[in-house]
Amino acid sequence: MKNTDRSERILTQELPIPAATEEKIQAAYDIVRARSRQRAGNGRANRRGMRPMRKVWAAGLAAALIAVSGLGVMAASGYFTKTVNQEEGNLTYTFDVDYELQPVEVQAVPRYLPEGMKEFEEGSGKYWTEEEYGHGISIFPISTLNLEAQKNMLDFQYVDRVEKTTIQGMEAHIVTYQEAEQHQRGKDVFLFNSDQGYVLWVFGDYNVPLEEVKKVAENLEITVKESSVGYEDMDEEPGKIDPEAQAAADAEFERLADQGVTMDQITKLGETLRLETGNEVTVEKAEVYDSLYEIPGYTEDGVYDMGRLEPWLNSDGTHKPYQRIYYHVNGEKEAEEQMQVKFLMVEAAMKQNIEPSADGTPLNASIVRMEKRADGTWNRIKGDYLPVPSENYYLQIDGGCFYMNAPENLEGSERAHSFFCKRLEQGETVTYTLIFAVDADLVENGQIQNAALHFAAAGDLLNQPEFCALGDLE
Amino acid sequence: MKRDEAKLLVRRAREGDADAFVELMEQNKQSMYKAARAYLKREEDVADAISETILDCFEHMEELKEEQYFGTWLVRILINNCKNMLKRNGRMEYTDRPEIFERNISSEDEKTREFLAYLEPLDEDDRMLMILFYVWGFRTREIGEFLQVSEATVKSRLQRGRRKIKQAFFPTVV
Repeated sequence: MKNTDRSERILTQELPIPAATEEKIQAAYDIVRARSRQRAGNGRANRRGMRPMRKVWAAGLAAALIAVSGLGVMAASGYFTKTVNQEEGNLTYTFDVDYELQPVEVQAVPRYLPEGMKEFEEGSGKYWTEEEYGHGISIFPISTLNLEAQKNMLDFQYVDRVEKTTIQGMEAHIVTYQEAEQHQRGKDVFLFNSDQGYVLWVFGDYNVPLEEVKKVAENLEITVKESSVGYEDMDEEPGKIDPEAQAAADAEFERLADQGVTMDQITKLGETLRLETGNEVTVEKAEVYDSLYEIPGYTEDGVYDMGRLEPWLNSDGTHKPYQRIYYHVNGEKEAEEQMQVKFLMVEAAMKQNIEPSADGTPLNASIVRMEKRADGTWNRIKGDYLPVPSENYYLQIDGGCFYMNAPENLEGSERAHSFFCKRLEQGETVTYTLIFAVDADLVENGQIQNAALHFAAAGDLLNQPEFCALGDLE
Repeated sequence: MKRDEAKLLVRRAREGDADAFVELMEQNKQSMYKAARAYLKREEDVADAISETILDCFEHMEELKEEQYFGTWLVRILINNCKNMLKRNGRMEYTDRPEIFERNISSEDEKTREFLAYLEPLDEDDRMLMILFYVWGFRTREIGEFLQVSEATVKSRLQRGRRKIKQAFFPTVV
């Protein structure tokens, strides 16, 4: 039986509901019927004000009711009533919208921007500087129509503090986040205008000072007009997906992800792998070094991006340790450890058997961690960890190499797109060197263990599982 | 139940029709029971969470603006109640160690035992995802909206969930 069939059977089969539980459910129905009769007697106008008599077991419901309906949190009139629920780093805004009022369209244009900041694209609401990372401000005007599309809820995680203030006469919340520097989390300013029916959200990225974000919010020019679109015009099921096509795509993805790699798809060190494309590649040597400067033939010319390498090199050419964070499946941090890094030098030979493409032949490769499965096949594994974001460690992106000797494409977009490509004649063989930064836990007794190379020339990793072993697979 | 019939029931329930409301709850009772069982260890907590959800839904039925969102609205209230039940009982450790690990299931019905054992390898998020997908029949897009994550994340987490279950059930294959 297929696993999905089994899931379906076990999870969809009817479970017997114990008598005591059924009794409580029936008691709840009795209360519902009694309240319904009571309402009918009192008239609908009093519905909201009525509080039901509840049984003892229904006591203690206040917290849930506040979270769901916002009782007693904030009484606002106009287009919406807002409920704020802040608990253990989670911040939720829930909006109870008055659907009798025609929604508005709102625009917000900043009359102040930090120095050097420009709009990325006209009308985008995103403002950036020339600096590379974390220097953006985004402005999101949110009408009640937009809220409706968000199920009238805005949710945020890892919230550290919510400061309530007034900006431009509106209730404003300034939200800052936990461990913001380490995790490169930004900051938010929200302006709530229930009288006119909108929320303005100003997001400042991690390198933008909070004072600047507030200043942008204080100097927004806001335009409000009645929307030509009503709630009734909203698409009931936007982006409807054909369930059969979706199921087929899911199944195919699962099949590819689950399929093991057999030893005949993994070439040993020194053996030649004939790729599906027709080209041939051989990993002739794979050696681990502590220092980059010990690697024979190494020169800076072969480094794709010195900006990524230089900050991580000690003066003797060894690699500085980086901080590795393990994530839980729900995205929360589970653990952190310092990771030592070594260098792997690979000597490979690529034979161009097919007609070369104009862009040249990609010679680079990525390291893939492998584990043996009980049936003897091998499986690609990807750890649930990353370098800590604040350290900006990008040398090992997707297991790729950062060095190739004697590169040909050194300038502008050619460097960006084709640094690791070479133009080869049909029948020509090139022998070359790649260097990778590798985590020390991949190295045992000076050798790479349980890892293989997947060459870019081989194509898609899922569909073309062709690997060259880097050492012993055990 | 056909979609239009469900919508009609929701509309009638929203207008205060107790019979329609009870019918609606009855139709969702199994799904509520399974979702609550996936969260809560004690049967009496499961009963309380479902009962409170029934009362909350009736109390706030008129706040539901769109009939087609009844399912996600009901689940959200149920999950809130389950979480609050755990907090009230001072048992917030379920994220790290799901309660079903500690459950004494010796007196359970065979089907319930199979159901709980099947979900056992999963953490809280993956369990809820499997419940939303298989028990409630939500589409991956709806689950994404519900959990505030992308549809791609839902798909990959579903696959991970299935894989974990597979590893636990068929250790010699994976």
